[in-house]
Amino acid sequence: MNVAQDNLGAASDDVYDTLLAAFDGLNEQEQHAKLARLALIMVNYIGDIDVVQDMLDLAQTPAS
Amino acid sequence: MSYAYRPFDYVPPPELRGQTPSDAPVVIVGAGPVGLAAAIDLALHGQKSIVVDDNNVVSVGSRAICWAKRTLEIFDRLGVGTRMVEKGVTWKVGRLFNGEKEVYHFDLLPEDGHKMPAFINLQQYYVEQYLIERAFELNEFIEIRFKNKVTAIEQAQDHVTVQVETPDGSYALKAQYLLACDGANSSIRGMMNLTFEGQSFEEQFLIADIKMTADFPNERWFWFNPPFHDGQTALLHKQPDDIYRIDLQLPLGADTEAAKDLDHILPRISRAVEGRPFELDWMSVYKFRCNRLDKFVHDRVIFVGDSAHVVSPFGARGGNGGIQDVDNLIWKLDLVLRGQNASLLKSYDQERIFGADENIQNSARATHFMQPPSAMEKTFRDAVLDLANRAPFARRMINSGRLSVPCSLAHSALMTHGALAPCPVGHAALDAPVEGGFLLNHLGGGFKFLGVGIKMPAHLDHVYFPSEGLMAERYGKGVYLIRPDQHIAAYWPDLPGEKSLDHALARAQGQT
Repeated sequence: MNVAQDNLGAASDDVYDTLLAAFDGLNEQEQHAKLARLALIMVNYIGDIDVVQDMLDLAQTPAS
Repeated sequence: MSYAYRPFDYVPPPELRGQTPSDAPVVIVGAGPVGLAAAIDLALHGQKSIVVDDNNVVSVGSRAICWAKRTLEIFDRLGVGTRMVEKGVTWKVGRLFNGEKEVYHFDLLPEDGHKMPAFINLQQYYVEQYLIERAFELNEFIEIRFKNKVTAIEQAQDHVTVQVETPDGSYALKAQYLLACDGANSSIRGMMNLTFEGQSFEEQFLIADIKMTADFPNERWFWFNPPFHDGQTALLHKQPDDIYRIDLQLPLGADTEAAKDLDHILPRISRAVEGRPFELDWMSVYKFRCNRLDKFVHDRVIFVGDSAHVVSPFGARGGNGGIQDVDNLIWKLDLVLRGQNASLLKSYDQERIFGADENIQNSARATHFMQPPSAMEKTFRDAVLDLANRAPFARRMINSGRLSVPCSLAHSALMTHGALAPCPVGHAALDAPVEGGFLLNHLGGGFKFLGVGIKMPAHLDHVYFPSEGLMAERYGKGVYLIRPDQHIAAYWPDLPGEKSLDHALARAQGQT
């Protein structure tokens, strides 16, 4: 599975907006905590350590 | 203290009474659980040993208390398992708290068809007492010398000599092999100038045994951010004789002596046990580390247990790991003493270093979960705790110490791989009920073939059981080669030719 491919299509803007709205009104610590919970939930939902590793690789800041 | 310590007699050794010096091929340094188990296992192989210990009482304080199923199975093979299980306490319910709030609780339902429970809590002093009494029964093979302290060690091509100090003076003791079972602060390791590499943790724990006769549930309680204590974690655990273990993690940089101050500690314990009356029985402060020797076999000196590797205490991997070292080593040492090439001992290094690394990894993970070393790790840890009461997946991530399970030796060079076995090659054989008892009581000690639903030629040393019930579920049908430590060394779904059997047996003994 290619973790970089587009899966959202036309829903992209809505999903992005939903993500931003979820962190509205939270202080920085609360934001970090929620982001961590979200990451855990997603990792569990994906349920495949190789896919998670691919995602972590993609998330890595590229060497400049 | 609650336990009645009875000092063992010091007897002047024959060497200092002008008598014939010992001819035992093995000297064991340290009469703790590991050294005693090694002596007993050697005796069961018909090998003599002398156990020297600088002290003359069993463990002061409860110390190692949690004994896992695999260890109990080994103790059973050594003849003390049933006694330990009868005395020990088995808990099934564990509760996890974050602050005041219970995050969740779990009930460990025992799996059917095993002679030994998943684990018991039993103070180290009882474990040592039972092992010493067992060793006394085997006194034809085992001589325990209390108040005998090793002060120097010297290795030669074919033997090792130690200088031993006693109340009557010192003497030299010579043997073919020396087992250093002298614990985390091993003096043998020090005398040999071996580096003990690893990670030291800053965390300090105060551990206390309290005697509490008031009714208290037979459960394990673990707190993150305990409301009654300013350390990160606290643990409450039941032991026999109405003794409870309390572990309080101390705040970073805490003054050890101040932490032991009773005015400071008693109110905290009182809150942990919700105001029930109790008496303090024993208390100690420790700092832990994860270290291991580069290799455990140094020619004629072999390190076993904590002298070879130490891990943090959570997850019961110190004592249990040490007993598994013994289980792995002794049959090999026996073969070597009977003339087999000493290269077989290298497999002890390979197999147990793998086990030690697994234990170190597991306990380091638990430690990081309990005391996250960075802000990010703390964020994730707290996220897990927060999710745990509403998301089952997060409960599994909570790490307050993983219970020790035997490691697989699948990668060992001694294994013969072929068809995929229901009970995989490399694993410790799973117990199962068989006619008149349990499977594991028919295995171990020596090499043995196990025929499950497959009859074997009478001249092969084997046991046969029909493939039915839990035996069928756990073993399917086929022929297994079982090592003296009850690990599976080979499997065939059908009876193979004798050449295959012989080859696997030779390989399992390091002869190919």
